[in-house]
Amino acid sequence: MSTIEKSSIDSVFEVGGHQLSSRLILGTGRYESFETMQQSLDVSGTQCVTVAVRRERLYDGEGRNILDFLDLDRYVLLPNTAGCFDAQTAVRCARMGREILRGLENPGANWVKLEVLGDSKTLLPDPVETIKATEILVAEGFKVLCYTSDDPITAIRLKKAGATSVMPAGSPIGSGQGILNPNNLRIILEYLKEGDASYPVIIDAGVGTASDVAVAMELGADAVLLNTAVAHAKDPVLMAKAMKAGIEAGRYSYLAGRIPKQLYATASSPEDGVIATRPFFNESDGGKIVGDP
Amino acid sequence: MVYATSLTSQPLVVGEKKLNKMGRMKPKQIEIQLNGEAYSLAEPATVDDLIEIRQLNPKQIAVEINGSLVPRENFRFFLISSGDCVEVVSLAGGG
Repeated sequence: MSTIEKSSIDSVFEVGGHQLSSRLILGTGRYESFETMQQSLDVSGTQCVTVAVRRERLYDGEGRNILDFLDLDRYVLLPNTAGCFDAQTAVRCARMGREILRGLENPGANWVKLEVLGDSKTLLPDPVETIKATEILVAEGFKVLCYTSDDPITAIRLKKAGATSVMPAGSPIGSGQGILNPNNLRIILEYLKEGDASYPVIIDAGVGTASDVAVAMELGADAVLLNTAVAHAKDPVLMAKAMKAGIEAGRYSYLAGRIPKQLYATASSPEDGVIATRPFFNESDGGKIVGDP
Repeated sequence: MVYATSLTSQPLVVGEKKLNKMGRMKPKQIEIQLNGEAYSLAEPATVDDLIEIRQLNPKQIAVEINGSLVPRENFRFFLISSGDCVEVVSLAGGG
């Protein structure tokens, strides 16, 4: 496939009926101010941002609402069920999120980032409750994007349950540990995309810095969802810019196809016509370097 | 437009309006759970009435009563009853 063909394939990322020009999905939590959040989203190039559903207490210290800082014509909102620890509560949360987005007339009203946690210290997902909630929400017409661990079997179960996208974590939420088990992610990508290459797999959570994003994209992920790595960076706006570059670098590397890793070196310069003799280490000669006097 | 900063810090006023219109001596108060806290409301009260009391933007919220979502089209005629468990939610920053 030519480079031109590849880049045209890469121009749009489709998930849940939405066409996104950026493969970066950003969270809107934990910023020190709405202004910093707004600028970070702007420079990141994202078109899709996650939001949480919370009891009405919506104003910062100055009485302002997050919606005053989100351009709803620019961003598709992806409501999450963060903080839910059982399927039933997550389903209720998803319904309320959809209702709010209907009121806002935002196209994100059709989908949800499903997060059903199993433990408040690790914030690891509860796979049983996540599958249960997925089945209920899919039956209610939701496009369900499932946060899950990097376990390939759970990922397969979620896809079979009707998940629009499976979103394995690189490492625990907010931990900044990056991609801990690339092999599991490789297996998930292989299994979920077998005979279904466009099935979206999004790496969600654990990113610490832009190289983590690049690694995720080089593995073949369709997109990366992150929040804290930008929101808590020393300079969130600059980190948002770095994440954008990381997404592009990783995606292009994946499409370009990396060289295989080899144990030994391969010279980049011609081996013929070198003006010096070529020393090498010869164990059978007692470790003497050939070419030495 | 000015909005309330907390759901439970505002005095109840809508019942007085209804009282004047209906010419009754005193509106009947009902006790509900609003976002996990005890809350008094003059009867009869629709979801729309509650939204008005709380000075909320109806487009930015969702309302659930006793675990069931109230579609926004029903806000104006859905009556809140004594003992109801009412959740009013909106969007917050999240990942």
